[in-house]
Amino acid sequence: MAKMESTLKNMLISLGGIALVCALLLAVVNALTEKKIARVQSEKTARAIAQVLPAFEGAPIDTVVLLDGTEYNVHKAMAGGSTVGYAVESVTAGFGGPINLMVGFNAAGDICSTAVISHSETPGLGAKITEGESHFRTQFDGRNPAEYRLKVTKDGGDVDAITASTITSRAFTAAVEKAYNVYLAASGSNTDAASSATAPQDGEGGSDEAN
Amino acid sequence: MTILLILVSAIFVNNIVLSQFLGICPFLGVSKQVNTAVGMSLAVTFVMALSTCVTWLLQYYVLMPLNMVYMQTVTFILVIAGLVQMVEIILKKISPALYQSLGIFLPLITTNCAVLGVALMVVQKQFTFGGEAKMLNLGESVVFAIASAIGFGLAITLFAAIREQLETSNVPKPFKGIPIALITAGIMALAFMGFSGMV
Amino acid sequence: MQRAQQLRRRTAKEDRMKPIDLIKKGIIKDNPTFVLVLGMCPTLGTTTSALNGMGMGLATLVVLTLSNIVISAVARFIPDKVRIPSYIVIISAFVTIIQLLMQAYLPSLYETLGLFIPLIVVNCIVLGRAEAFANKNTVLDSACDGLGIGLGFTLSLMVIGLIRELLGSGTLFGLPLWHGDGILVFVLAPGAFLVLGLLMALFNKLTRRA
Repeated sequence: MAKMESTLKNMLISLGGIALVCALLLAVVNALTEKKIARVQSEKTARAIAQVLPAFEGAPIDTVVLLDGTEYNVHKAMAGGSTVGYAVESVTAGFGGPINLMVGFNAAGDICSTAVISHSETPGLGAKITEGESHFRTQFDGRNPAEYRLKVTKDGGDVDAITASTITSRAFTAAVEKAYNVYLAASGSNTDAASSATAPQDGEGGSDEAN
Repeated sequence: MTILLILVSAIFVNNIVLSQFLGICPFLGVSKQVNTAVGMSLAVTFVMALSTCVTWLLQYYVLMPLNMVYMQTVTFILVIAGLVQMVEIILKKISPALYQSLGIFLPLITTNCAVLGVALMVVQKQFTFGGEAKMLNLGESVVFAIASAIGFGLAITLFAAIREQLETSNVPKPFKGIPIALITAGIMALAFMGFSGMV
Repeated sequence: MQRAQQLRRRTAKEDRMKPIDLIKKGIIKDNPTFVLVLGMCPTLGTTTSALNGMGMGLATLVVLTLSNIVISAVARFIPDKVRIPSYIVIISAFVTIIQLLMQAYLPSLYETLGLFIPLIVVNCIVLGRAEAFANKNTVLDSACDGLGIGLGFTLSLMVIGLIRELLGSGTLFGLPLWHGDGILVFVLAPGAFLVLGLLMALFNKLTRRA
């Protein structure tokens, strides 16, 4: 069969043509999937919010709270005309990458529950933070950070770390603490508690992960 | 400080070959001799730094403003292929000696998934250097690319040194060639796991 | 005698094969993982469980088959010098389509496989088949070749994933087989290299004519 000759004109036409057809095709597929992808994302967030908050009515009110130069997504849930709680998204550096958390607080400031949105922790070790009935994640439920010290026991706090995954446990705990500070800022509680809760962490980082 | 963290993290802790599984083809293919391994890693460093710089700019100043992030993969791979060609032509003109030593590796780099992998990673993933999770800026991205390439170079050079020794040892027949190389790489990966948690 | 047979087999292969033989060839004789040793990055990087391996394999299969079909159809109109860039553009377009569809309809699998989906573009198997097969064969043959190689890749990844999952987490397709943890190292990076190396040696042992 006769091949096209490699003249400059032929090369430009064929490569340009292919690129144009591909770009158009992608634009079409993108337009078709764009809404669905956005919906998948928002459904995921909605599911996480529902998981960490007590029953509420209607759609939560989404706001962005600026704290220490970082923006946080906060979802305020209402029922019967009054606020039942806030769900706060926060991120910290875990062992294998960022840990994205959704933390729910009720009107009194107690932690209702937590949900891991995404993480890249070691399977079988740090990844235990996602396990449904894991003692680690549920130990936060119902606690009020005003009296529950958000530090792992090794650092003088009240949180039992996952065995052999201290860094992950610290990062998770720090994310909850951050979320609490954002909650205080969002709900307009006194800021004294917020500043005391952000006291510098001693023994920073720590390389004693038994991985 | 951030720069130091990026370097240590990309070279040792999250070594691109031994813990991210990128660039395995050249890792297995061009690692029979230390000389060629070093040549390959120099070429990779050069192309990776350059392409990450260009693709980062493309992502933030062209694709995102135009709302065309879906063209990411297509444009990035074209940029890499084009850059590799360009580097080859320029190198041939200005430094024939360098071209002699690196030239043969350049065409292989287009399909080295580590190059595209790093270019995509810096615009898609949040990084966690220094306790906070954030996207990298241009400077940090280029440093990350260079560090990843050094990590690649370190792994492939060490591996080549081991394989040179393996040549003379008595390996059971079914293990000859790739299988024993993979098992060696596995043991190296085990050793590199010792770095985890450092950053 | 044996040599003649081998030779005859080889010429027969080069002449013309039935579509079904083309598919079979990709699974055993030209198995991309164990024989051709191509596409090692996703093979090692995504096989932490049988399902992940299967998902990655199927995504590659779809891209490979589609790009083989299109490239075999348009190869005649592409001048030789811009052959490779053209193939790359076609392949990356299909990869992006798969990427968008997975994001929309299989979001959790997409998140697990992550970077390795866009990296199908530089999977040597895909460009390799375009260059070695699709650009000089008919559309039907190229489609079968893509299917065969893709199936071979999927099966290999599934087997590796199955073994790593079984040893590493003690589960089979996500179902726990025994109580407690597995040997963790097998789902981590070193386990990938070790399992693949051992499997390849076993494959060599079994397929080598004594």
